[in-house]
Amino acid sequence: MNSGQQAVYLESATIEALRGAIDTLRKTSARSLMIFACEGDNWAIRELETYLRSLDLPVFGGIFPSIIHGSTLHRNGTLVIGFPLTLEVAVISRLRDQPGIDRQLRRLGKTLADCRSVFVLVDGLSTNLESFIESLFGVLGARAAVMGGGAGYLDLLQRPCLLSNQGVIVDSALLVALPMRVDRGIGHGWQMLSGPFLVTRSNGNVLEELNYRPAIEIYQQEVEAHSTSRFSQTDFFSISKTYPLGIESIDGDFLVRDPIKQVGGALICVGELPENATVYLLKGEASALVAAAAQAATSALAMRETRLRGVSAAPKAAIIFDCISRALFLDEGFSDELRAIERALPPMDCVVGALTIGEIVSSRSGLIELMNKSILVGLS
Amino acid sequence: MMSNTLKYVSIQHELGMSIGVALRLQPMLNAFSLVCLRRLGLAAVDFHFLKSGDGEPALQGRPGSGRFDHFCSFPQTSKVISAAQFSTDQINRVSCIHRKLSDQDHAWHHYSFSLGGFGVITLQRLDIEFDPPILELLKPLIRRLGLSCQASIEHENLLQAVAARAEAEKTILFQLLHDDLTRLPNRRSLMQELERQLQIGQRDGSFGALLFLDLDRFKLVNDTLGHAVGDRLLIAVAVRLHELVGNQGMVSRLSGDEFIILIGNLGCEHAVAKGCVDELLSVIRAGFVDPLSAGEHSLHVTPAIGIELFPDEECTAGQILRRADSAMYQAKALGLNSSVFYDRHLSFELERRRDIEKELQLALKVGDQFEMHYQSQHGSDGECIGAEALLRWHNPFRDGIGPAQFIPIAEEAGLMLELGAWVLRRGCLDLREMRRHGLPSSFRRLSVNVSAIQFNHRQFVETLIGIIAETGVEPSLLMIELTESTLIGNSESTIEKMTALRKLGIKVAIDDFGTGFSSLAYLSRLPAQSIKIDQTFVRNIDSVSGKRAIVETIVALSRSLEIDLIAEGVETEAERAVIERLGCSNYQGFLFSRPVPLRDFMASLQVATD
Repeated sequence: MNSGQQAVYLESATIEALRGAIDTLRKTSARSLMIFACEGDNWAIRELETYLRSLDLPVFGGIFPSIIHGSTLHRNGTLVIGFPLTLEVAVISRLRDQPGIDRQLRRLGKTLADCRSVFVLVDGLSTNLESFIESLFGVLGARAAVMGGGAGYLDLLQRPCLLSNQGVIVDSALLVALPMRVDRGIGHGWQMLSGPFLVTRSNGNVLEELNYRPAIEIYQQEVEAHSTSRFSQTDFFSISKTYPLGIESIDGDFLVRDPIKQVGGALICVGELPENATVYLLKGEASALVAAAAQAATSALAMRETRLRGVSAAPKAAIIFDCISRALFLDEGFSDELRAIERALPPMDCVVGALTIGEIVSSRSGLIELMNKSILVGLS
Repeated sequence: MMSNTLKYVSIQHELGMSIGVALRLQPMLNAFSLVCLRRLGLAAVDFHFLKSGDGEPALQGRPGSGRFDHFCSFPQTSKVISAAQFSTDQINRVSCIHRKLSDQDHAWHHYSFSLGGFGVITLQRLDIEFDPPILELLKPLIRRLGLSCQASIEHENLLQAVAARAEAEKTILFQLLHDDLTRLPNRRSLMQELERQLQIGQRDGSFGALLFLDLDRFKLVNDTLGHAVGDRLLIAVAVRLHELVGNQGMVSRLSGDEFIILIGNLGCEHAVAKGCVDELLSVIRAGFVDPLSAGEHSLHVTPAIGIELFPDEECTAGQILRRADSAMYQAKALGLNSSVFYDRHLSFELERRRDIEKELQLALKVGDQFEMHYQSQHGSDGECIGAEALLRWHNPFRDGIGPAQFIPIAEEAGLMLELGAWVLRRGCLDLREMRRHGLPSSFRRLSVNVSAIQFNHRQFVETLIGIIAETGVEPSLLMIELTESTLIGNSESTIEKMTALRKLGIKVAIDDFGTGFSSLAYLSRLPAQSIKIDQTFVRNIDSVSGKRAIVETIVALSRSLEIDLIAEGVETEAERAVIERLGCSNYQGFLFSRPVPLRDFMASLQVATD
């Protein structure tokens, strides 16, 4: 992101409207394009793909459950953002093929060598996301600031969702090298309810055992002990969206892991739970989540001020990646979250974002992490 | 407080469980580092170790070095940092050195811990320092990691030793089946493959071909430009042949400038197989049109190629090779860049000569197949005035092969110097034995035949002097017999050598006199002491008047030059009488004695003396 980017919001999901918006942005010197579309618009994928391939500007973006423009959440419509720079967009395809990921990333050495920030958009329903992020860290290290999120559909069925000059693609990642630093704030607001529990058996994102017992037994026992919810009477996800798990970081924060499904005695989570880690049961309260969102915005501002060493340089643009599960949890109260962010930030030309399936960010320690149920605010 | 304790215990547990999950050093450190990065919130982890002479991590460094060198970092692309400097006291226990550095975006905290005195681990963290208890909880883990590194390094050393051994075995196996110079398969490898192809051919009725290549005039390259250039040329030829043949067949080097191309699966029709070989021959010829680079030299070489198609009746692998070899010799005879398919009729004599050549080589190596026989020489009163040493070969593979058959082959094969030296030494040793046993006072000389190649060699006189010195015989008892043809050409050096021999007291005889074309003027300049009238003039001299005239001339010549005369091949008293009447009073021939082994010859001398 850079000062000078312009956003156009389209209500109509047609190629003509998209072409018109892009022509408008071209006239204001746009040399690269970011497109955030809503799944609710049911884009004609083949037509969209043909049009994207025909574009002579670098393009990147995704189809998300909802998009954010200013402090408004849109379940329909499309955001087209023009950048006054020619950005390099790399496509990493076939994320399920780990050796292939490493090969593709190695070839990007030159593209990523001098950039200061990297936008990462992934197919949020790809398996192997954690390994991809580990490989990405292997290439970038802590040198560049990374932020981004997962595109995809709320029904959690994987299909083409990333927009690029190659068309509408699936099981891939888009890396956008940026020449400037993006200041970041991260928050979630989920609080410790009980624990710790030792992960005694797991396989990637499948949590099989806690404390040497089937994971579902411990999870059910603890949730039912602290609430009136009963798994025998209610759908699993209806309960679990309120009670995620968290791995405590050394600095006291939690890396949230969202159990989305029960298979036998195991919990299927978004993101890995490594064996021998200790996890806590977390609970959500609307006010805490909204406060955390405001805090994320404040942290991004603080990072900017620290980096610029007090030199006044108000940010001109913000990008927000907010987890879809927060919106589902907060429901009608989600608008409070967006307003809280708006209040925490100074007035800006351009505030855009999307509801994502997984959030990706360089943590304060430099490590790139895949987060769940979290909110990222980026400023430039 | 309690919450932190649980957190620390949990971190310690997770990190502890990630130590030693792999036996190899790099994967072990990789597994530990990934957990470290995530669990401790790090930007990078770096490892430095003492290194051995070959740059591998070691428990003890290079003598006098004591320096930690970077081994690996996670992530791999992170900027390589230098290892912290530990004092002697710090290095041998787990202690932590904290360094703080800054760049435009961040403060970097480097926490370095000593690993068992032979390494250092550095944890890099952005902006936020570790709480002191974290550093304390890490120390026992680092101690365990140090032990794990030690075990891994010892394991790696063992693996390297095993790998070095495996590599050595591989090298030996390679050397066993390949030629050192060109790295092509060698004779052993060729014969194995030929046996295999032969079996396939016999089983399936399909043809294969063996092409025997010998470079035309390669010796000239070696002799004029040296062996180093010759070797480079052989390598270039090997590469060129390999390129030309490709996957069609196997190119191997037999020895020297001999290469073999073996191709199989040429179909079941003889004509088709031959057509395939013809095509390959065209490719080879085209491939040698351009010169080859041998160091600074650009050399044009061509191969002579002999071809044998197989299977043919019950022909063995060895016979196939020999047949192709014979065909190659025929190709050589046709001129440069020729090729010839083996033809059993044309090749029979050639093969026989090749076999004899190989048998001769073997005989010279083992040394006990040769023997000298002696034929006495007599004066007018029948007294023994000397003997001629005659070479006999007891060839275990064939009976009755005489010098007339094998000497020309030895000359062609370049074996004459070696064979001639053996004859001279054996003759001198036998002469010493005769002396020890007792010689009659009339005995004046032992004649030994010397070939033209032997006599014309620049070291001949020195070699002879060496043999005389070694055996201790009197030079005056030794006579060298040279054929008239030996003396033609090289006139000045011939005269010099004969003069040198004469000065040493060694006599020189001209053998087979009358068969050559030397001019009388030339003969008069040669310092020869004796002429041997060839047996063709002696045979039936009593009944053929033309022969008498020739002998009369030779007698007159010897008288005018004051040269001793002896007639060889005297078989009858009538012949002897005619020769005596013409003026020659020394004889050699069956009339007096056949050539006999040394023991019999000495016994005959004893009888005569008694």
